[in-house]
Amino acid sequence: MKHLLIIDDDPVSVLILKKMLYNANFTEKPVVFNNGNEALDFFSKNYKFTDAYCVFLDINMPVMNGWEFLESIQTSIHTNNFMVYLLTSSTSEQEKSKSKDYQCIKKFISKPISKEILSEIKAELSM
Amino acid sequence: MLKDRHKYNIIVVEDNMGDFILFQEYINEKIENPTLVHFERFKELHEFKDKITPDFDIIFLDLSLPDKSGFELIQEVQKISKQIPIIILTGYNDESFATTLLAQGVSDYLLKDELNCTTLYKTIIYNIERNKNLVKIRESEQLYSDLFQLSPLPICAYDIETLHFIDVNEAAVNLYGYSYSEFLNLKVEDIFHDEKIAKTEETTSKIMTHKKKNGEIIFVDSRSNTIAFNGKKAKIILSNDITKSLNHIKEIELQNQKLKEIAWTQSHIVRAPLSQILGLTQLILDDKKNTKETKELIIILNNSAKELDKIIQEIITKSKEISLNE
Repeated sequence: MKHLLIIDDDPVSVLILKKMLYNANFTEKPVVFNNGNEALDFFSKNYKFTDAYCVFLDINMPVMNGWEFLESIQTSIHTNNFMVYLLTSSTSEQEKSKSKDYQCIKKFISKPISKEILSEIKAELSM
Repeated sequence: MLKDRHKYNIIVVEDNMGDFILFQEYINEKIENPTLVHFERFKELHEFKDKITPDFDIIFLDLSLPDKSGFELIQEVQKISKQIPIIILTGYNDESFATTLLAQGVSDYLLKDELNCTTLYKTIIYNIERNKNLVKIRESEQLYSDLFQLSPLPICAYDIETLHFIDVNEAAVNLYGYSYSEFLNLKVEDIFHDEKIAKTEETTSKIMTHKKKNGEIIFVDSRSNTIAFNGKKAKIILSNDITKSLNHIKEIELQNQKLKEIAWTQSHIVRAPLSQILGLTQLILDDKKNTKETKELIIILNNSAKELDKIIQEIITKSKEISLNE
């Protein structure tokens, strides 16, 4: 089973991403978390090795930001069924290069996400 | 026998004419045409003082003149003698007296009873030469003293054992605000602020905080060295006040920090709502139900947002240069 997750505290960003996913014909219904902590909670209860997880992760969030979430989850997941698309309004080079340190991060995307990138992701997921 | 043909200029202060005539004879026997300027009283010599120039080679002084005599006479003559060697003529034969005379700074003394042309000539030659060396030594001492006193950088010397100041230069007086005599009553800890005082002889070089008389704390680039000062071990510290330049650097660092904060705001805060606008216009453009007019307006909105995005990007790129320059 495939899961789409959006971890982002900004409701407008979430709304845009949801609509774009819909327009790009993603069939799975995305689950939304307002910060890393909520998502961590979800994974600790529901994570299955047999399922696939596609996570759209924002960096700047209250409570637990994107980087903290990645640090916390690393030990409890497999990188082959856990794909992260870092989605941020920041264009900082420093963060972009930091994202290369994580094997689970598939892409660093500057908001807003484009239709083209979404269809690439869709192709990767259906493989 | 050949006479010395060098042009000698000699001052003779002698009240006894008989003695002077004898003196003249002795001198003429060895020296060809010496210039002798003769005075019988100290008063006459004193009136001549402005004409005493370094062109004179030597001064002969009878120690008992009617208007002044003894040590007082020597002191008064020294005041106007312009470092020309003074040779005392005396009838008084006593070794301890002679030693005292030399200690007073006279070059030599001659006993009138033992005077002859050979000893007189030898004394003249010897003392002229010796004085040339003395002048050189004095000049060299003066140069050393000037290097210390006139140095534009503040220098203090203190006793390595008692930590009392022994000497400071004018620049130190100006920097710390203590007068020279006040300084000599102070110890090193009076100008050190929060600094450990090491009684070691090591040469040091570091940034220190010092305290001025008015309580102001200053940063100094301090270098110290151990020297022998009047027979005592002393430490000499050179303190370059760098308070202003340090404050300047701090100010610049603060400005840089602010600039970085502005850059961060541009990159993270300002761009967040902009990315929303860009996302929303994209969504509206994808909606097939739009009228042609709405679509045109949304394209314009989208272009404006993209333009703004470009500007933000430029600011971020520039701010990166600040970080790189550090």
